[in-house]
Amino acid sequence: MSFLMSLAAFLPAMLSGILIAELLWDEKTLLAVLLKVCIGTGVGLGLSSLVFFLYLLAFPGGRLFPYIQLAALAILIWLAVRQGKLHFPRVDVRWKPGIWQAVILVCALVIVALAIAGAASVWTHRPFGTWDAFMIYDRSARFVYRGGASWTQTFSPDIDPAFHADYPLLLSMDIAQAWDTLGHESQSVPRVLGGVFMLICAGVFVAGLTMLKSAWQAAVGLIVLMNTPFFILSGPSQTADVPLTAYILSSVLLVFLFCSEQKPGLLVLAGLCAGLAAWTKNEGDVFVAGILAGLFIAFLRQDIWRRIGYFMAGLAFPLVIILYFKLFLAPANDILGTDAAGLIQRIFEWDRHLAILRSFRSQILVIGGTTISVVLLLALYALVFGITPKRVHRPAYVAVAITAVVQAIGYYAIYLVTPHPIKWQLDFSLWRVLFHIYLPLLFVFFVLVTDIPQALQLQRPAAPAETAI
Amino acid sequence: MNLKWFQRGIIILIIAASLYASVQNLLATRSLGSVSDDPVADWEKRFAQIKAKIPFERGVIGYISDANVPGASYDAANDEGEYVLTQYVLAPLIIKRGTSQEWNIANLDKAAFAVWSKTNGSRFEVTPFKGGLYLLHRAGS
Repeated sequence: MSFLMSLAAFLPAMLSGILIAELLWDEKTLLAVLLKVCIGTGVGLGLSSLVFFLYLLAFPGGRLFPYIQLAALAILIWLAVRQGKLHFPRVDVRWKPGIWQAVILVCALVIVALAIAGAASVWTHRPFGTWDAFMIYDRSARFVYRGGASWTQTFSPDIDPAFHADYPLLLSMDIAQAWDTLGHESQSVPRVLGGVFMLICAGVFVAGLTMLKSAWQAAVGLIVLMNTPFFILSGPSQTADVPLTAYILSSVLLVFLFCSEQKPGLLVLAGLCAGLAAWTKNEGDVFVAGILAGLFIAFLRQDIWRRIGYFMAGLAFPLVIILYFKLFLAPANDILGTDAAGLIQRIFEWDRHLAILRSFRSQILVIGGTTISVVLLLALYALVFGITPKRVHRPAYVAVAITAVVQAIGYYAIYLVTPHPIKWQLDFSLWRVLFHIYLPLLFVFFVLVTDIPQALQLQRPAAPAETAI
Repeated sequence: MNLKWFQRGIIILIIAASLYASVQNLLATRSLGSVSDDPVADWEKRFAQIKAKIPFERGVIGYISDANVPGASYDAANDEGEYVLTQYVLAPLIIKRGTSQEWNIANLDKAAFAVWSKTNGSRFEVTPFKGGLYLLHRAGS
């Protein structure tokens, strides 16, 4: 029951986000609607967190936010009705699976069931999540909810740096606002939030691949995603890595869709998701820098300023709030806030470079914590199936490749300058942060490789294949 | 023709590997311990009484543990974990290591408290609680 109540507490935010996605992206197919539900849910939770933060700044200890959320939802419904956006999706399902499709589908369902059982088991064993969950996000949420008018004490310089009071507030604000709505603290709230972000991740991955390729390609992609131990263990553990990856993946997918459809709203949504990634975790800042650099280069000869402008329109609201938070509220970061001399000294310690490179190499081979190397398996898959990139997606491939390189360099640089023992820091976090890069690249991999029905000639392609790059 | 069989083979390989990994993932969750073990909930219960006796709800409170007592034996990882849990359960109070605050919490085992009490006991009014917890109020404040 408390799970349902917790979910209900997030409902106005999630519905508002779905309506915002609907208003920005006018597409009526069933898949597009599913995608808007997944992306919009994340957008709603992110925006709700940002607005709750602003509300508490304006009215410390105020208890009227649930009514503001309902009023916002009512306005969005009114806007959607006025613009004729509320409609049933256009259903166009041609369901004629052959033996191979049936095998893939059944196996995907079995693997999804096993993943759900795994996630439920983590929820049962760790109701408070992992250490990071309760020492960073839930602790901060308690300061906000219990602190009343003094909620900004969560940024006090007296708090031990181990509690990372400088971390962005998306999860903490969402948890605190749900407690505010419920009228009491419930541990179901962060658990439900973790589950919702897992569903967003999987939903965006599957619906996006189905839209860009086929349901069978999406099913095989899902099979690979669901065997990633990190995803199954970390999602229910209430840490911020899966929510961050959900926003990164949404942003990447929206760039791909923009390349296909050329609808400005898609880039606005991509920018918004990128901004929400930065509001989720500091690593999101690296993603924002990467995707901006990537889009700049990818669109260099294609109406660049207008397109960057669309992206910035979505990014601006979260970015302004993040800047305010970082400049005026957040205490110094435990990694970058240290002495400059020590930082420069660490950059020239070659043993550190070697340790980081070795750790990157070993983690990439077993990325996501898999027992069988997914990288080697996917390399074999690409070799056998071949790749058929579409010309229309070329800017998206460029943007994503540059983003991934910037993220990898950014993470490398953080490990280089960290004042904490390098071995501890690498062992403790590298496998987690690589997931932020891995999942979008896994998605792009399945967009890039030849579609399964096309390769196995299981069904006639609906339209002539587009020219390859 | 051969390529088609290779392609089907790789799909079977991926499915088999994923099924194996998914079962492994599910079994791995057993290593997370017993469902009834919940250190966070236990810590909430352990601190419930002392929390009720702290005369303010917001502000800074000191904290010492076995690690602060010279000669006391302790496990560094456990000590750090207990500090984290204490901050979590007492939020929105801010927990600051040391006894420089007017009000402080001591999380000490019996032997460590005896040692600490010999040298520092006179400076504080000590209220003991169950489970090796002590509320320390600086004398004369």
